Amino acid sequence: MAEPLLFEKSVPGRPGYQLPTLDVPLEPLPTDDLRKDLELPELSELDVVRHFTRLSQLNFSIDTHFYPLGSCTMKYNPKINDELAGLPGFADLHPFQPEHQIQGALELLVLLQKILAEITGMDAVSLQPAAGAHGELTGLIMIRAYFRDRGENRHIVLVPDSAHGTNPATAAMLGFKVVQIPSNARGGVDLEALDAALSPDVAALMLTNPNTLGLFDENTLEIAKRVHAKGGLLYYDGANLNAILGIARPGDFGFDVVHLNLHKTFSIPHGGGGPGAGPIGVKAFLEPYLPLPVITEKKQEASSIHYALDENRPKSIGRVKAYYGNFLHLVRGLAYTLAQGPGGLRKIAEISVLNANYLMQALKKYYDLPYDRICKHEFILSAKRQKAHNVRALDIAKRLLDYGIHPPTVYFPLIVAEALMIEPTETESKETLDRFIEVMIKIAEEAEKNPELVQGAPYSTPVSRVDDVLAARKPNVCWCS
Amino acid sequence: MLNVVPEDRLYTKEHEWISIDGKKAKVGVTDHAEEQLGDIVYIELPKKGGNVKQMTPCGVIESVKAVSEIYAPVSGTVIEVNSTLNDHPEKVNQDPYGEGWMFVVEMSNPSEVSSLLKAPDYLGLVKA
Amino acid sequence: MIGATPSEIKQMLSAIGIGAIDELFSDIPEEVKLKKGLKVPPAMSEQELRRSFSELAKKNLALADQTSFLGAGVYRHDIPSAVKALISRGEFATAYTPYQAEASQGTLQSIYEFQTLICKLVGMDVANASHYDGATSLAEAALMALDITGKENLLVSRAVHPHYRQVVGTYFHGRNLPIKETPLFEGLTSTEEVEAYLSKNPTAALLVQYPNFLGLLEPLEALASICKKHGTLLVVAVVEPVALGLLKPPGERGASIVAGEGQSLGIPPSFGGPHVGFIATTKEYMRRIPGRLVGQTLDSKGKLAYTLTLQAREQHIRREKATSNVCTNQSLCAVANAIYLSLLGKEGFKEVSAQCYHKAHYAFRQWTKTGALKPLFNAPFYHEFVLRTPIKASEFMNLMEKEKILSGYPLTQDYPEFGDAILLTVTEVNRREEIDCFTRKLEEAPRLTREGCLHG
Repeated sequence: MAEPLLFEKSVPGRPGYQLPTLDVPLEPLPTDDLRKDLELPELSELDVVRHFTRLSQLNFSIDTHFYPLGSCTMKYNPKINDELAGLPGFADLHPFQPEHQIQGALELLVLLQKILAEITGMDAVSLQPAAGAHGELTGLIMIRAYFRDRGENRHIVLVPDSAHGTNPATAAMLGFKVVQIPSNARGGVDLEALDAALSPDVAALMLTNPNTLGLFDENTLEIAKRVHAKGGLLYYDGANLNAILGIARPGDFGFDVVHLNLHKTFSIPHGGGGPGAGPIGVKAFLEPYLPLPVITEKKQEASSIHYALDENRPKSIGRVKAYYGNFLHLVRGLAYTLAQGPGGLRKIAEISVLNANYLMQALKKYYDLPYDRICKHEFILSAKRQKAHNVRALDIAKRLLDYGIHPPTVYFPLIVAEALMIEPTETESKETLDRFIEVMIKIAEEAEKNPELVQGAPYSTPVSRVDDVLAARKPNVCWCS
Repeated sequence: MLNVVPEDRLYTKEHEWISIDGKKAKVGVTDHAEEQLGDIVYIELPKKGGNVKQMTPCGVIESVKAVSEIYAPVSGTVIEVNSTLNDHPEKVNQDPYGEGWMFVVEMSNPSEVSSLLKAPDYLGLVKA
Repeated sequence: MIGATPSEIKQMLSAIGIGAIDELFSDIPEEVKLKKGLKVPPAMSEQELRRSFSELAKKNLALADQTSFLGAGVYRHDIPSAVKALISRGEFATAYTPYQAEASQGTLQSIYEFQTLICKLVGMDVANASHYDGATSLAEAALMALDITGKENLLVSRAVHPHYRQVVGTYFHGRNLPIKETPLFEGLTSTEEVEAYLSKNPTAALLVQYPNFLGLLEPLEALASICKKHGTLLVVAVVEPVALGLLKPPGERGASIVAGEGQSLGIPPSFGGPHVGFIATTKEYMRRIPGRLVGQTLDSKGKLAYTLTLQAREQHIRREKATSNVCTNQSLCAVANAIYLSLLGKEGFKEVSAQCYHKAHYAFRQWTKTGALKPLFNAPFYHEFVLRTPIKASEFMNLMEKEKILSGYPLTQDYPEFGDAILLTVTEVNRREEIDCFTRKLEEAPRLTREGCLHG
C-alpha cells in the first residue's frame, strides 16, 4: 500500500503541536509584510509519527540489510556515537557563545585534529568542510592560494580516468582546466601519460589510493616524485582510507593535501544522503592557508590549557562554511576513533581488505574480473559475461534487492564496462559474506537460464523498477494541490 | 544495431547532421548519437535570431544518464527552431533525421560545408 | 566492531590461498608501511567513552542552563520530541543516498515532502533536496545566477550575515569576479545605492537577507523592481525561516532564487552543525539548480513512486560540466525539517512565528524603556534588534554573563560603524520572566546583583 503524502492526509482543524499560551501583550503586526496564506498540512502527532515510521520501513539501510556499496564504506554505525552527540553539553551549544563557555567543545575539536593528523601523516587539520566534495573544494582553493602567493599561475588539475566525479567537478567549479590521465593495465596511473601531462601549468594531481578500482597504485612514491619535480602538488581523495588505516599514511606517500570522509571511514551515519563531514589535512607549508577559524591550543599563564578560535590568519582562504564544521558529526567521529585505539584502527583495514578479497576469489568464476590481483577494501566485477544474455549490471543490481541485499555500486568507475563495485566493510560477518556469494552465484545462473526474470527485477520491493525517463521528461519535484 | 546514415546529408565528428537547401541548413543529431544517449529527456536549443559559430556548442541534449553539447555544424543565424521538441524530446529518439530536426541556420559562410563529413566517412567513424 | 572470528579469518585466508593477512598488503611499498601502531589514545569501551565525553560536555555551558538572547543566524526553538524519535530510526539514519529508488522510497518520499514544504514556505515552484548550510546555499545560488545571466558581477548587501558573505567570497576566490558590498542606510540595504550601482554595472545578482542580519525587514518589492529593470536576479537568503510563518515569503515578492537555512526547523543549535541549507527557485530555472532533486514518477506497474531526477546535471554524471561539485546533501536534517513542519502544521507554525514576534517586541519596549539600552534603527523588525550599550559592548556582555544572561551578539567586530552595539534575539522559548529579569538587571545596572535570571 502506498503511503500518501502529508498534504493528502491533512485535515483542516486537526490539532497538532501545542505551544504555551502567549505570556506577553500583543504587538501590532507589520501589515505591509504579512503573509496571506500558509499552505502547510494539518496533522496530529500520531498522523506524523505513523507516516514517517511507515516511510522508514520502505528503506533498505545498514541497520536492516547488507549494503556492499563500493566507494561508500557502509560499515555499521555504532549507536554510542549518536548518544554522545546528543548530550546537551554538545547539542545545546550556540557557536557564538563566549569562548570560556565552550572550552569542552574546542578541546574535543583539537583532540580530533591531532588524531586525524596522526592517522593521515599530515601536519595540520581543519574540521570545517561539511563533506568530501566540500573538502576537495577547500583543498583546491588552498592550493591555488599557495601558487598565487608564489606568483605562479597554474591553471590545470590532473585527474585519473577512474576518479570520482566530484574531483573534476570541483576543479572545474573553481575555474581549473581538467586533464584526464588514463589508467594502465594494472589499474594504476599510466606514468608515461602522467609525464606527458605534467608541466609548469599543472597545479595538482588528484588521486585516491587505493583507487576506485580497489587497487593500490604501487607507483605511488614515483608519482609523488614526478609531480613534485614539476612543482605541482599532490591531492589525496580520502574516500578509500578504510583500506589502509593503521597500515600506511597518505602523508608518508608524498601527499600534500588530504580530505577524509567521516561518513565513510569513520562510521558517521549516511542519513539517506547526508549530512557528512570532510575534514582536510595539509603539510606544514600549506598550514597558513587553512580556512577560518583555526582552533588552537594556547597555554594560559600557570593554569590549564585554553582553547581558542583564531581568526587572525592573513593568508587564510577565508571561511568555507558558517561556524565551525559539522560539529555533532565530529563528536561522533572522535568517539568512533577513540573506541578503536591503534590496534582497532589497523584491524579495520585488515578485515575490510580480507573480506573483499574473500568475496573476490569466490565470485571470479562467475563474473568477469577485469583486474585479477589482490584488491584492497573493494573490488570490481564486470557483468560482461551476463550481457551476452542481455542481462546488464543494472538488472543484477535490481535482482539483488529481491534477495534482501542492497546492490553494489554500478557503472562506476567509467573505465570498466558494466561495473559492479563491491565493498563489504569489516563489520560484516562471514555468514553474511557467504550468503552474498550464494546469491550472486544464483543470479549469475538466472542470467543464463532465465534472463527475463533478472531483467524484470525487482519484484519484492515496495515499488518495482521506476521510470527514470518519465521523471526527467516531466519533472514533478513539488506537490501542488 | 543498424546505424542509419542517410546519404543525402553531411555530418560532423560530434554526431550532428546537416541538410542543405540553398543558403539554409537544417541541423539535427544522428541515429548513433540518440542511441548512445538513450531516452532523451530534455533539449536546450539555440535561440531564434541568435548567431552560431561552426563547431562551437550552441545547445544541450540531455538523457537520463548523460548530457551532451550540440555543436553548430556551420556558422550563421538561427532562423527556425523546432519547438515541438520542448514537449516531445522523444522525437529525437524516434525520428532523428525527420521529425527530430532541431534548428535551421542561414549560413554566413557556405564554404564551411567542405570541412564536414560525407555519409560513408561518418559511417566509418562510428563503426571504428 | 569487526564481524569475523579468529577461526573465520583462518578459513577466509585459506579460501583466498594466502597464509597471513600481511600478504594482502604486499603491494604497499615497505618504506611507507607503518612499523608501529598509530600514536592515538588506547581503545576505550562504551563505559569509558560515556564518562570522558560527559566530562568534556560538562566543560561547556549549555543554553538551557542560562538565559539566552543569542541568535545571529542560529536560533533556539522548541523541538517536538517526535522529531528526534523519528530521525533516530536506523532505516532513515543508516540508509545511503537513494540512487536505487526501489530500495529507498522512504528517504525519497520524505525528501519530496521536504521540497514541497520548502516551496510552500518560501513561495517558489522548485526546491532542491538540501545543501550543506545556508551560507554555502547562498554561494551556490550566486553561482547559479552567474550561470543563468552570463554576467560576471555580484552585489551583496552588507546586512547579509557576516559568515555568509565571507563564504560567498571564498567560493569566488581567485575567479577575478568583482563582489561589491552595498552600503546600508539605517540598517537596511540602500535602494539608492543599489540603483546607482546596477545602472552602471551589469550584475548577475543582488544578494540580500530577509529578515536581515540586523533583524530588519528589507524592502524586497522595491529591490526586486530595481533588479528587474537592470536584468539582475534578486537572490534572497532566509536565515530564519520561522519568520515566514508570519511574513510574506520572498517568492511572492520578486525573488528569483531563495537560499535558506533550515536549522530553525527542528534542529538544535549543535554548536554550528550539521545544519541544513536549501535553494528554491521558479520553474524557469529548475534545470540550473545545483544538488539533488527528488521527483515523482511511476513504476513499471503504474504505481506512484519517487526517484532522484535530473541527475545528468550532477557531478557523478556531468563531472567537470556539472552544475556544482556537491555530492552529499543534508538529507537527514532535511527530513527533520519535514517532520518539524508537519508536527507544527499550519496553525502551530503560525503560532510559533507570531510568539517570536510578540515576545521580541515586548522585550524591545521593556528594555529600551529603562534607558540603559538605546535603539539604533527605526525600521520594522521580526524577532531580532540592535541596541546600543551604555559601556563597551564586551564589558556590558561580561557583566550580564555573570548574571547568567547571554545578552546577544556583539556587533563591534562585524559592524564597527555602529559603535558599541549588540544584536538581541527573542524566540518563543524565552519566557516573560526571563525578559522581565533582564529588564530589572538593566534598571539596577549600577547595582547588579548576583542572582541569575533563571530563578529571578
